[in-house]
Amino acid sequence: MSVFGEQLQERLNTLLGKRLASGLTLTGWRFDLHETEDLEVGVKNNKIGGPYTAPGLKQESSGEICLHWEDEKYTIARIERRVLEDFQAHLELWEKTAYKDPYGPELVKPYEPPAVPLAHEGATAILNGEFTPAFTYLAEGLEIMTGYGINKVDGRVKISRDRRLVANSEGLWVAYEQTPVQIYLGGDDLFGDVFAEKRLPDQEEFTGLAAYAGRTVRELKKRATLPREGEMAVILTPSVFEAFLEHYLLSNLSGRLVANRQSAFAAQDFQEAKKVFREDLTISVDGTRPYRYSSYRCTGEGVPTGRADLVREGRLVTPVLTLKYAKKLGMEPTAIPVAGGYGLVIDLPQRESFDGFLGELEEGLIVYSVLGLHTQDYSAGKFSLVADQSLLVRKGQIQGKVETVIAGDFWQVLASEDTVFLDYPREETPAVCFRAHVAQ
Amino acid sequence: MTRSLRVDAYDETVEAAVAMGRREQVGFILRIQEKKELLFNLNNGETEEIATTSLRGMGIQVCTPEGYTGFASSDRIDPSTVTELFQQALKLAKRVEAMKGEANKALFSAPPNNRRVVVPLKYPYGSCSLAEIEERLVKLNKSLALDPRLSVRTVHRLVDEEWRVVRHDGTDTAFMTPRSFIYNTFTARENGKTATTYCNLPGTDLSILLEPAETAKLYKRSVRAARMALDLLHAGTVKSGSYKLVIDYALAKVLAHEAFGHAAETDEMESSILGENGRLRRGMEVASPIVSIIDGPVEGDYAYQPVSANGIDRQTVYIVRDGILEAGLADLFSAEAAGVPVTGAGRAESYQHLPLARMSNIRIQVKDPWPIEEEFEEITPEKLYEIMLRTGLMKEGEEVYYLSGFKGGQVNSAEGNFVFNCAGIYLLGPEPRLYQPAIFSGKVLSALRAVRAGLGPLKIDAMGTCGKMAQGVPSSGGSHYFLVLDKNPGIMLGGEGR
Repeated sequence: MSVFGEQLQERLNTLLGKRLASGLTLTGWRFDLHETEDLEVGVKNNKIGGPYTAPGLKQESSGEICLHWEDEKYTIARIERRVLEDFQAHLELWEKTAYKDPYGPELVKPYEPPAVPLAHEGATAILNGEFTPAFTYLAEGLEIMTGYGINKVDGRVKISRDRRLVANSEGLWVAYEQTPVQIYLGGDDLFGDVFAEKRLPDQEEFTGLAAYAGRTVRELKKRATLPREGEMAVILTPSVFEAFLEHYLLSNLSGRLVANRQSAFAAQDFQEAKKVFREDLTISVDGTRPYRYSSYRCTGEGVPTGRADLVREGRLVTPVLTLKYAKKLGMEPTAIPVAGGYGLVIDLPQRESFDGFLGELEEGLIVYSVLGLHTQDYSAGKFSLVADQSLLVRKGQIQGKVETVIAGDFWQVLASEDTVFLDYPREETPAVCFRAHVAQ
Repeated sequence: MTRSLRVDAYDETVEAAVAMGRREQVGFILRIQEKKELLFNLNNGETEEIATTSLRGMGIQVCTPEGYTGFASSDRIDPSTVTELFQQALKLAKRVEAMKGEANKALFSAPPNNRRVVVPLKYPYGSCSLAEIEERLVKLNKSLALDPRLSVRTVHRLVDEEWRVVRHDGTDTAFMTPRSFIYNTFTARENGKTATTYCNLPGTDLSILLEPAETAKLYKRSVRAARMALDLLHAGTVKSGSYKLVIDYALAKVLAHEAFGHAAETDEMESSILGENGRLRRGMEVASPIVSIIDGPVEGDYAYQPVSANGIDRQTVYIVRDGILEAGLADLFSAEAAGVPVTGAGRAESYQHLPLARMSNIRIQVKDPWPIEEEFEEITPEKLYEIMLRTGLMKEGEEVYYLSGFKGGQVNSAEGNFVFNCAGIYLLGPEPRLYQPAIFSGKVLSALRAVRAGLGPLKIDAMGTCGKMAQGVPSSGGSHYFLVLDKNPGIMLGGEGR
């Protein structure tokens, strides 16, 4: 990566301050380059590595370049390896695609970002050719899940090495390596769960993943009947809650949408620290945690990682801001959430135990999957969804699977004092319980 | 058809792959992709971003004589890299064999293909200055600021993409998959309430921006969507339940694609509601006898792909003919197990991906549709009500809801559940009343059996991106302007009890 980066830096630096044939003068540049290698292999219908899940090794060098020209003009381009082979042709295209942007950001000054450990030796060894563990995860997962009576096991292991370089003409040069790992196991087309970190799972974590997926599928294979339609307790499991947070909260916290009046929240709402949710709820991004999937050292623009509260004690703090939208809104840029709702940190002074709560629950649903979340109007906060994989609970006992339509208002869920946040086994994100309308 | 393509430049790489195949005595599919892309993003009259993308690379799928598969890809395209990738893929295939993984020898039964498809484009990538494109988009975006409560976002994407697919058996096919769209998003805000609507115009080149007839069509769609966003600020909600429904062709495309097309893809036949013991249930009655469902490439269409990612010509397939399940969307590797012929349905997002059985343009066709002379964009809910009365498809005072526009959908093919959302709902009547969008959900087969009539000619330009197995490929389709669905307990509108 450093060779590619150094050569690109050299080519760009020779252009700095020069007036080009198009009349443009380059005043600065930045780029974010990734040299990635992936090993991916899957299991489909209990069989490892068929034509759809064959083991694959992938290599790619790509990234984004941003050129700063005189007169508030900018160029943004996604680039790949051959940019150096054909630099003049690319440069001519970049000149043609320069556009004026009064809110175009300044370049970040050089600094040393936090040294967050993100590259795991075990993952690196696999990508260096010791492929066995990737296959072993699938073989073990298959064995554990079939032990729960699962007929059809599907799964996928993806292990990556990303050598990243973020640099600019001010002298910023941040190079680091990270190893994202994703392991998915699912059964009988009913339910699946994912491990995603920048390291390999330990044995307990892996066994826990397979056992949770197997147990849940087993429960979902038992059928029950919804006793009535109407309002009842609905528990969103952490992965479903994260999907809701991503669709509703993160969409509306997008700096671009706030600045362009396309969010449920106005810029003024942040300036006034408007109270929108219950006052014990704090929602943050934190890119500094070692080996976490959502961690990184700096953004593609060079903004350092860090922890940022987006909502503090129920009040709006800041949208998620890149340099441009920070400038447009007159605020500071923020750390960026990676991996959607999974990358958010939910802080609450009190969480109840999931198992304890379930034992006391008179009647309710545990929702493991919903269909159609992406079709909902993120700006309105309302939802009406098919909960295709849900378990009915009565008098503290799981009865079996029901298919329902759930409807409610996610803003009210986050605002209501009656909403209960639950510590869920193996998960950092809580499950959330609230009352919603449930129909067949 | 002799025009050169960019992917023609890789003959040496192709020869190196063929030589490797001979030396190792294994089969292979080599996919070479070249893509250039332009993206414009405008908000409220200002250009927010113009971005270009350049992508090229190759992926090689190697298959041993015993049927074990390995894959490797790189963004370098040259003879030494293809040799290296070949060895890596073969090593991985042997690893699968050692683990007694899945074997599939279908690659060795495919007929060779040397088809070459160059799509004629009136305004291809590079035919218009970027400054002119930007100027036209800014003008369009500004012209849609119809009300101070509205925020308007315009996205324009133009993709110039070429593929070359080569196999050990002498297959060497090259084709273009050009595409473009303009997508407008309208967010209306008032007193803390918000509503968002969308509209788009897809195509294959810059005609969508440069041809007056196309821009006029987009403008009409946009004004309609913008007004709906404003009206939704004051709209109520529909009481959930089963109703007689009218859906427009965009929603019908989602019904065809999400609710039915995925279930007909043969690589998921083990768990599809249209399969039994892994085989397609041909001859099964799945829809009203007036309904046919067809998928196939249409030149000039947003999702056009004439040749599969496995190098096999893509066929136009009657999945359902007159209500009876007739064929599957079958790629090379799953057709035999599903008991159907290969239809060339394999598609891949990029050279880095293994192809899956996918749709292209899928449409619902109804026998003896009621004619409509006007353009779709001219049919207001008031006019639709008049047409429904005139054709006897509804009576005065009957409760019929018209679902307008679409916001995507999702399906569980294994259980046959679907969910779609529309942009807005009208209760048809002399003065149609607008309601908030609500999901349209239910059982796939219930929906298809409920189709009672089609209104107007076929309109198949509803666009989308299909995200099966986390691979995004363009999709499109439609139906007659409108489909009328009888009230059916298996189809539900809304989820609220009010």
